[in-house]
Amino acid sequence: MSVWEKLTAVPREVVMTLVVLAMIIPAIRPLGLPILTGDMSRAWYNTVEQLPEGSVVLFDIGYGSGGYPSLGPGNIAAFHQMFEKNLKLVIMATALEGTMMYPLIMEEVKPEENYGAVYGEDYVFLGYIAGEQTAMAGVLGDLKSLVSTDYQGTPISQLPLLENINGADDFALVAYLTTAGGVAEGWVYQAYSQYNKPLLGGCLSMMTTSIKPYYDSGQLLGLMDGIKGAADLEFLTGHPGDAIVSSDILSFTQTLVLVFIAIGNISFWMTRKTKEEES
Amino acid sequence: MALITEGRVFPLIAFILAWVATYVAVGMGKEGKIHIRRIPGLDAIEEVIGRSVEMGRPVFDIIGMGQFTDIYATQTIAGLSILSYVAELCARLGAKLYAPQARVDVMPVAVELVRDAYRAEGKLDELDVDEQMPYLSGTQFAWASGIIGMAARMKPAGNIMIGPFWAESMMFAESFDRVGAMQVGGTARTYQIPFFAALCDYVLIGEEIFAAGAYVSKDPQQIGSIAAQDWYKMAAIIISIIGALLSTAGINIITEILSR
Amino acid sequence: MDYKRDLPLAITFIVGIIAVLDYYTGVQAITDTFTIIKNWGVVLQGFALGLGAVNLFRVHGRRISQRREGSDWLFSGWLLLMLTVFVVVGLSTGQYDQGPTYSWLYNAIYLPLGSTMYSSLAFYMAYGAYKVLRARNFEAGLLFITAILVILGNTPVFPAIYPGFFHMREWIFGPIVSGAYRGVRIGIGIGAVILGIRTLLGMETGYLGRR
Repeated sequence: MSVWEKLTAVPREVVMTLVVLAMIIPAIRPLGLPILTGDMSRAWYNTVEQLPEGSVVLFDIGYGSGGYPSLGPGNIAAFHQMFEKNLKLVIMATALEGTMMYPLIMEEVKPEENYGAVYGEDYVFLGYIAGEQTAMAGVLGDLKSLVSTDYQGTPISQLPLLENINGADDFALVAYLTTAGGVAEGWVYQAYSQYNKPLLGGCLSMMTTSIKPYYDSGQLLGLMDGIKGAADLEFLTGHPGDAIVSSDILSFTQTLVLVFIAIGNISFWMTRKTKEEES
Repeated sequence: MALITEGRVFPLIAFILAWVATYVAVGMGKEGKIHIRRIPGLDAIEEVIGRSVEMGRPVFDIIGMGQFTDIYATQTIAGLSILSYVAELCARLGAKLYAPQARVDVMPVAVELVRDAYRAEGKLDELDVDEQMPYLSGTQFAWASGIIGMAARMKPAGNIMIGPFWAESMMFAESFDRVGAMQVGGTARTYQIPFFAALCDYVLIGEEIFAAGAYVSKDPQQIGSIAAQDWYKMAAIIISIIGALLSTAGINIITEILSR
Repeated sequence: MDYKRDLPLAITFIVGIIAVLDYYTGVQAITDTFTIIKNWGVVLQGFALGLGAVNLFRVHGRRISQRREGSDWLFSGWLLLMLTVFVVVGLSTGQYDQGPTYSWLYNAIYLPLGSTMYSSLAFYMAYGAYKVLRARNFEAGLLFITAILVILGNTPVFPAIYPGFFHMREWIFGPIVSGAYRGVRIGIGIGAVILGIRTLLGMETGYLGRR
């Protein structure tokens, strides 16, 4: 077997080991490679910046443990910006595991400590609301008939923030981060199409191709595309975190993938050429 | 209050027209007037099962994690239709079928239709439901790792994946490819189609999976109903072109009608 | 009358029609009826979850008692142990998934496992890209060029060096990908509607078994 033939079929163990190394090296020694902030994340950032202080934002944590590495850092950066702007947050989860993500995010954001925010007055967490689009329609249609307590079981009548919030009209902005296509599109139908609400979306990078048409058409005012979008937002908000570190990892790994694609193609063509010459 | 919800008048008319078109197409199918193109992915299912019999290794049929109550219900129904067909072929040809389950509401239906298929072939005693159709988990990656583990241990010769799939699609396609299984993949979840296209031997793209049940039934009436799907696509293409041209000229009449 | 076939078809038709009418009309009685049906669905799912747990105990209990397939029975034992631990911890504290012990279990066991599984996609994708992205012919060549441009635009360091990579990716995502996706999605939507109608009319019977 010639060298070219061997290179057309590098064992997966070799490829995967090199991918591991490409991940570990920048994780241990971040290089701080430059990043270019994308339009979609800048649009997310600017939309939030333009909201007047005290505006109420409905935020959906639509992901669980699997999506946390990609969307968690962006969620943390988004909350930092929103608390910094003194916005009020009504947080809900359309993913069952979203309730487990909420404490992880708040441990990083520390709204009380960092921004003097008070639970119940400046932010509330409604917990998981089942039914995806039914849940969205319920929260935007008539919040109080759908939810009677927050996640901790406190009656919503005892939460000052929710006193004057009944539905879509009371939210200045709706934002979501999700790993589920149904949730990503569901919010467009329910918040934008039904109530014409300003809407921000965030999804995994591989979903971007499907969700971006909503951004292009103006239905989404901003789009956070996975870890890249999260890194952009961390940079824009001035709260560097896991996503910026991940950008180095992403740069290393994807460059390695490009190298392998090049090896695969060069060896494929060289092998074909050799065979043609032989025959 | 309006009888028809605002913004849904045109969709209702479109729905009624689709209903009528389906009836007409079924009628034409009965008369043998409808011929549809071959779908290689569906034709290959028999080959997958035949290969498994020859190799003496099992076949997997994975219908995905969809439920009857979510927006992917139609894909789940398409997956179940194929499962029924696969079970029938497996029972007839003597291949061992494995169809692990992820959704507790879909599982009883899946089990029942596999039982029916084996019963119809007079081979119910060859089916061990607990072993061949285990409930793995309703949580995505627990379900995914369960299937990857089964694939690694059993080294199936074939894998048919038709239904709604999420991030696990790539894991399944790669794991089964690794053990040398011949694969047919199909989903209408657009994010996952590229992964199936990259690693499966045959792929059903998008709406092809909805035609699967009717296609494999080979019943002229059902095949006729697929034609309605194509008529509607033609109508959609024509409306899109006219709408795009009119919008470019600053006339938004099509957009206005569609949003009524 | 074949009640095993006709009864489910009749139920499908009636429930389907109520769902359709609920979507298109604003009649309160229909909305209320459909809400009741949806609630039945939730209750049925609750019972079905029990069915899943019973199935797990049956399948894995049998594997443990037979101790076959090498050491697989050990994994079966581990699965049942963890299932029991999570249920007992959740129920005994009376706080279900909000209790600190349950949260600890979740964060220490489940969260890293879920993240690990998800992250493993990176390896699958890297190897898949190496194996599949080969310019074997004209069509594959087009796919190859597009993929290279998208990867260059997606990798943070390249657009930072030359912003043109980012704009090329944006352009590919715009006219090319969005256009193609919309076409595919329209087809999928139509396919789903026609399958729905076939199901309502009782023509799609694959999900009932081929009776």
